[in-house]
Amino acid sequence: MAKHKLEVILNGEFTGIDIAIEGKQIVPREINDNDYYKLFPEFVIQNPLNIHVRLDSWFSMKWKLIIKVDDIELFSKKGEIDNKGYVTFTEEINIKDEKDNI
Amino acid sequence: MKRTIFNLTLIFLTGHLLGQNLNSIDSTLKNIDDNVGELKKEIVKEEIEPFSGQSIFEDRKGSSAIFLPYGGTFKLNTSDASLNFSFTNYQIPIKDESGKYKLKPFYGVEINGKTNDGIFSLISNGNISPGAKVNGIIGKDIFNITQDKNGNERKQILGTLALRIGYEGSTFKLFNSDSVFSKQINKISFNTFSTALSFNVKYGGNKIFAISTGYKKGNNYSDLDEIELTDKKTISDPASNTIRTFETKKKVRIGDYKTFDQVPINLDFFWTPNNNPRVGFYHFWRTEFLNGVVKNGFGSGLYLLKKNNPLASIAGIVFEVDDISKLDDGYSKNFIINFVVGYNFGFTKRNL
Repeated sequence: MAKHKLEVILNGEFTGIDIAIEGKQIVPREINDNDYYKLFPEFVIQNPLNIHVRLDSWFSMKWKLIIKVDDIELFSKKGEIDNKGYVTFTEEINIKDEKDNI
Repeated sequence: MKRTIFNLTLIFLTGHLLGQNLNSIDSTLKNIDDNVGELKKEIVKEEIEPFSGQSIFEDRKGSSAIFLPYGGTFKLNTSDASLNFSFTNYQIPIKDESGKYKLKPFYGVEINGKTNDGIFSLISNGNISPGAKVNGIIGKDIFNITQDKNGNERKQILGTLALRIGYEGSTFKLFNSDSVFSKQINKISFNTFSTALSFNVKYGGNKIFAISTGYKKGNNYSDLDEIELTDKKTISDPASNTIRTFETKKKVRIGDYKTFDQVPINLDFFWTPNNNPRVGFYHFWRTEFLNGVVKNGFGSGLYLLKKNNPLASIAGIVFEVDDISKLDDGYSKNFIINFVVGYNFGFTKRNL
């Protein structure tokens, strides 16, 4: 376990946001129209990094999620909301492997 | 609870105070009308044919049960001849540290200005009959995500409850040829306290159900016949042996003006097909209780929606039956077609 700088950047128009990293609920703030951001200067991460996301919105709305660890873009995913009105996924990312690839 | 009562009181007082300023809004609109009339004289050579259009999620009269509180919007409804501005401090539900969606009450304001003689009275040099409406808004989300037996998340339901309390007023000019000459044109003020409670349900990503009800006083001004009066005056000047004539024109309405208690029940349903988010369908049902008499109407619309924004239309067409009971008089009198125009725009409150 180690402490890292963690940034969560979310873009899109939503009707509900649920993001959890390492089991800790992230509460991003809207810093601009449809741009959400959250910074943790010291976030305890246990490799691999566990991400759980559920985004609610309207059919065909675009969304994008970026997670940076120690200023390195570790995870990026984007898409369009389908007719069910939400997107949900859980990912596990090996920090060492990802950092080595960059 | 104390905060909610305080906010409701504040909204009511603000609405009431703003309502008191309707006379100044009246004169401001009159000045705008005069100025635009002068401008029109210079740039428009010929009269053009009237047109009308309405906003998405609205009937011809600007009524809707659908209320989306996201940020702020400007709406222009040329069919109803109204301009609407609304803003709320709504914040979307975000799951907080406790693992529950944080559902905050939201507050807002809605201001509506209109002419009672159609949009073209804004750009003609006749007299307009302005009206204004101010609403305070208070609302809250109801959020529910269903799960199957295995604990997997299924379709979500997002409901929004909104209460609008406001004050509206208008001034009309009525003509009565039986009165003495100086009192033939009667200027009438119409003011009413209004409430509306709406409940919207977002189902999946492509359906909105909405129901609303409320109370306000109504009138039959829009059903009265419109006429144009021409006053001619002659001035003679013996010194120069000259006769000068001039004329003024006024648009007024004629008929039996009535006011009544109005309790509407609005049902709205908007959806997009599962395989095509660029096409939207809007269906509405209107029931009005007018002094104990029930009036029913309905309509359906077809929209072409903006890419990646199913809540905004590029264009559309709406078919409406204003009063079902009058369909026997012929479709031409009750079957109305209107166009939806895409000049709405919205903005979101920045939350730094």
